[in-house]
Amino acid sequence: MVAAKDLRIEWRSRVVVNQVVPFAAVVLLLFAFAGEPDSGFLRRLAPGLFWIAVLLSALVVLQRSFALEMADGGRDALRVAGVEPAAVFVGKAIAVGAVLVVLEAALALGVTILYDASLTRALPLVLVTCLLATLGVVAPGLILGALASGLRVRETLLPLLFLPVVAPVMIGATRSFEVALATDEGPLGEGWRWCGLLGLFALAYTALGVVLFEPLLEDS
Amino acid sequence: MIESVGQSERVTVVAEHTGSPFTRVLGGVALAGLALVAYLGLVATPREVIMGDAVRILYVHVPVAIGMYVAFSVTALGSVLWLWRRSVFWDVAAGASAEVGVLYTGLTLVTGMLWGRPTWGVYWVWDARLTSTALLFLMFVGYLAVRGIPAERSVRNRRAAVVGLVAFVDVPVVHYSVDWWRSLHQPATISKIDAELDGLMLFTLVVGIATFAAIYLWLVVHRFRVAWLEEQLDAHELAEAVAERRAEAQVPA
Amino acid sequence: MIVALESAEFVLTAWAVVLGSIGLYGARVVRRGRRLSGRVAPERRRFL
Repeated sequence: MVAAKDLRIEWRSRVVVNQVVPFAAVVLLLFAFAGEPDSGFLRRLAPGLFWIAVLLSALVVLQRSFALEMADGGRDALRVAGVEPAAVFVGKAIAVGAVLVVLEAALALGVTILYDASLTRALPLVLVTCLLATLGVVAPGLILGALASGLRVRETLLPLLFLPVVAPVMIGATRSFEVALATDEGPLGEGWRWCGLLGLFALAYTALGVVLFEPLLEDS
Repeated sequence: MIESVGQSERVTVVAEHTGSPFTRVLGGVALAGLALVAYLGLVATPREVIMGDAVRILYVHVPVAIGMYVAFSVTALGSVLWLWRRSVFWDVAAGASAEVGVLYTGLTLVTGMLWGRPTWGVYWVWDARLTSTALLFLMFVGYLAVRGIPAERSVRNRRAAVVGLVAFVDVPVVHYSVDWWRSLHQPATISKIDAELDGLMLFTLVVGIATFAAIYLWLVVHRFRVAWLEEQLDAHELAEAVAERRAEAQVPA
Repeated sequence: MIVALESAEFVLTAWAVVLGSIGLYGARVVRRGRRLSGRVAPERRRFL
């Protein structure tokens, strides 16, 4: 049941990917205009800029994910079909998470080309960071997205709620990428420690999401 | 306030404000404490070794910062209890505490910056605590924004409570990660708000903490009562509208 | 060693801002309380 819903959403979101990836590319370009591109600041800031682009794109994806459901009356259909709220949460998490992972791959390519910042040196660290950070973005994002859905002010409310909450993900994922990006020495331990933090964060919010989705969906 | 008694109408004079013996005593204590802290902090205590007179700002900065954490905890606790027990008391309390909390958080930031300028030379050095406070401020603002949405009361309060809970889980993580982040590149001494206090200075600080805690309580109690009155008014107007509608429906065609 | 700028103005500003804003907020809450109290029947006025 969850898989079916999940696939259905992903099919729809193929349209989303075609718009969100270009959006992220534009963000990367705009960052370059913030300074002197040859000075090397892009390479230095690449980890942070990468994750800011991810967060901004995540907002767009989350908004769309809930807007679509409201439009079709999807929420009521789910309830009538007897799907448990927790399953809805997990299903949506997988769908939105998959979209974001694809986006991150595209961004990694963009950052490698545009900012001369190669992430392949410490690939395991990069991959784990991406997975945990994505979950850490998706879980609170879905909770807050469900909270803001159906409201006229949702377009301004969701960013205000979402961005402060995921600040630890921004901090942790960026630090981890900084470690992965450092061309000289070997020690990756620091990066893995930040991954630990990301993992804890993701775990906490996934648990919270599973629990809170029921009261949140109650009142549509 | 006009009550109708039989055929005639009589004006009844009842206590028409949100005060009570408790708040009057509390208010008195708070004012006395405030006078004491002001005297001690601004006049009687000496300058600090390193930062000079700027330490006098800490006599208000630290108390409002502590008050901010108390306010936030009450909001978080109220949110959890509301989601769990559905008791209106906790929902109203959470909202009242959040409003006072946003005030205290804003003051924490302002006093922190006013302390920073003469001491660090700039208003902001990304001190771990101030940075976390800035994020907490934004979370409070978000919470209040949700409390203000135009939706049915139960929907609105439930969503606000979820925000409260999400923020509650987040704050410790934010503090930890910001602190860790800043400790990576900053030598611990330079950018932290730190002071050597002893004797009279410490006493002044303690009095300050107690005073601003009392002020917080006073503000929250009044704000709670205001919110409670608003709920009563809403419920009353709703009941009246329903009764009117029913009366209209029963008029014979 | 950090050079301390003239602190007195900052100290006074800080205290003024704190006391002033708390005072204004408190006054606003109390005023709103009075207005609302007048409109609600006395028996339903207080929870505590």
